[in-house]
Parts: sequence; C-alpha cells; structure tokens
Amino acid sequence: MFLGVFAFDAVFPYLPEWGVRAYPQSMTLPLVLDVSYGSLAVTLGVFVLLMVALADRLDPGKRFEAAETRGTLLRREWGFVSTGVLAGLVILAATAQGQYLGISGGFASLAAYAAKPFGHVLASVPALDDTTAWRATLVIGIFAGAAASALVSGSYRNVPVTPLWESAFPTGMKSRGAAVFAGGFLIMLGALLGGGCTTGAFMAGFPTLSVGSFAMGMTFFGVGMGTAFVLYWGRWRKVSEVRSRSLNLAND
Amino acid sequence: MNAILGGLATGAVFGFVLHRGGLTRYSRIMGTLLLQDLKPMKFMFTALAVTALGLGLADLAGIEQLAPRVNAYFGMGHFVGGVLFGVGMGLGGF
Repeated sequence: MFLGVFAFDAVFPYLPEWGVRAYPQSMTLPLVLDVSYGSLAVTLGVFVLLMVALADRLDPGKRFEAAETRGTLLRREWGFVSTGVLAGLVILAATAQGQYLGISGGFASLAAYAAKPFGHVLASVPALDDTTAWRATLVIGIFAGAAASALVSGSYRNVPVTPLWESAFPTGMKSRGAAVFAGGFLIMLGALLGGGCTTGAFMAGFPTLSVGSFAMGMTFFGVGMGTAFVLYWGRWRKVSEVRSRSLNLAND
Repeated sequence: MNAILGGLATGAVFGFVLHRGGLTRYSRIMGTLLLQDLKPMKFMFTALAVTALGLGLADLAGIEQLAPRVNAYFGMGHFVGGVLFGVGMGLGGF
C-alpha cells in the first residue's frame, strides 16, 4: 500500500501534463443542476434507503444469516442496519470535527510522516498540519479498532490464505500473496489518482454530491465487479460453499 | 494534540464497526462483487444514506458546522484511478 503512495508521489508532478489530472475544480451536482444542497442530499438519502430495501429482498447471502444471530452481542457479527447507521454517524462526527473520513488520504498522510525522519517531503503532501495528523492517526485507529473487535469476539485467527481463495486457486500462498501485493498497490495508486477509496469517494463522498466522487465510485465498482467475475469465472458458487461451512466473523 | 486524539478515536470506532459488520471478510467483499452476498453493499448504502440525510437536513436547518467538504473534480483522473482501483479491489478483495 505504501509503495502505491510513493508511486503516486513520483508521478504526481507530471499528471497535469499527461492530461490525467485537470486543475482541480469545485463541481457538485447542486451547482450543475442549480438546486439547494440540502434538498438534493435528502433526496439521495431516501433513494439510497429504497435501494437498501431492494438489495435486501434480492440478497442471496441471506440464507446464512442464522449463523449471525448466534451468540452474545460481543461474540457475534452485527447486522447491516446497526453497523451501517453507526458508520454513517462516524462519518458525520468526522465532518463535525471539521475533518473528512478518507482512508486512502490517511495512508498518504501516514506515509508523509514516515518519510519525514529521512528528510523526504512528499510532493503530494507538502505540509504536515492538524489535518494530516488527524488523517494519519485515523488509519492507526482503524487497525486498532478492528483488532479490538476481533479480540473481544474471540475470532482472532492468523489465516494466511483465505478459504475462499484456497478453494478456487489451490496454489495457496504464492498466488494469494501475489494478488494481495498487486491489489494493495493498485488500490492505493488508483485511490490517490481518482480522489478517494470505498470510504472517501463512496460512503463519505457520494453524500457531498461531488461529481468527481460519483465518477470515481461508479468506475471502480464497475471495474471491481468485472475483475471479480473474470477471476472467479464459472466458480461463483464457491462463495456460498465457503460461507455455508464458515463461522461467524471468520477470516474466510 | 486534539487532532491526534480525535483521529485515533474516530478511526477506532470506525474500525470496530467495519470488523463487526463483517466488512473485513474476504468472502463478503468478493460475495458483493460477484453478487452472491449483498451484505457489504447494504452496509455501504445504509452508511451513505445516513450521511446524506444527516448532511442534507443539517444544511436545510442551517447548521454551518456540518457543511460538507466538496471533493475536487479533476477530469480523466477519476476514470484512470477508478480502473486501477477496481482491478486492485477485485484482485485483493478489500
């Protein structure tokens, strides 16, 4: 992932020349459509809630839900309503602090701090201030929070190759290691080029009604699904197979 | 100092919620991309809707503190970045 940050930083000064990054402009849907931000954001919120209801009706993964409701609250996985609402409130809390919840931006800030003792200043993160400090510690906090959740649930396991990958590609660590390394690099470089990740450009980005976030979010979900279908061509039933024998909160 | 504590606390809660929702599971992320398990999609849509409703209602009520940040638009970068990110997402499953 950090390799991705430094690769982005190396090409950063040339991006406008290559036509990959135009001069950043403010462009939001309310500005384009000439309506008020508030009413459009509320409309988006209601529309997306309807999409949640539709997705819930169609979800083929629902038949494994029984496993999720087994055990006490601290031991088991939580549903999408409680965790989704909590995540939304965290994004709002970040806005109230005058900050922006974005994980890829956080990694860039963290890399800038890591490079500082070596006297290297990132071209894409030229100054270190309260915002970069908040974002860098955000990333550290995310790992700590997820680890804490795994520890209290008793589901903390070291699983080098996930069972789903193993069942589809029995070559084990070699192929999985290469995929994780390439995936991490591409995800970081792509997020910094495109202005956000699943959190910054989608969950937190769409509600700001920024045109750039819409373009980024729709592109990466489309390409992500395409890549997944090519990778698991004819083998998509493996997902349900693995799920039917795996536990709550397992690293599968 | 406040920025450091604020960032850590916000991140810790967010990380806890992500893990609790099963969003750190490879099978769930691939499940959504392969349309076999839509829980991550439902989680993300719910979070997106709550944020949109919160920011939208705050704007209608005139609460300045919750004014959204505008993400810059820079043309082709979104598509180039989106393609790289999408391939990485499908390969890595995160």
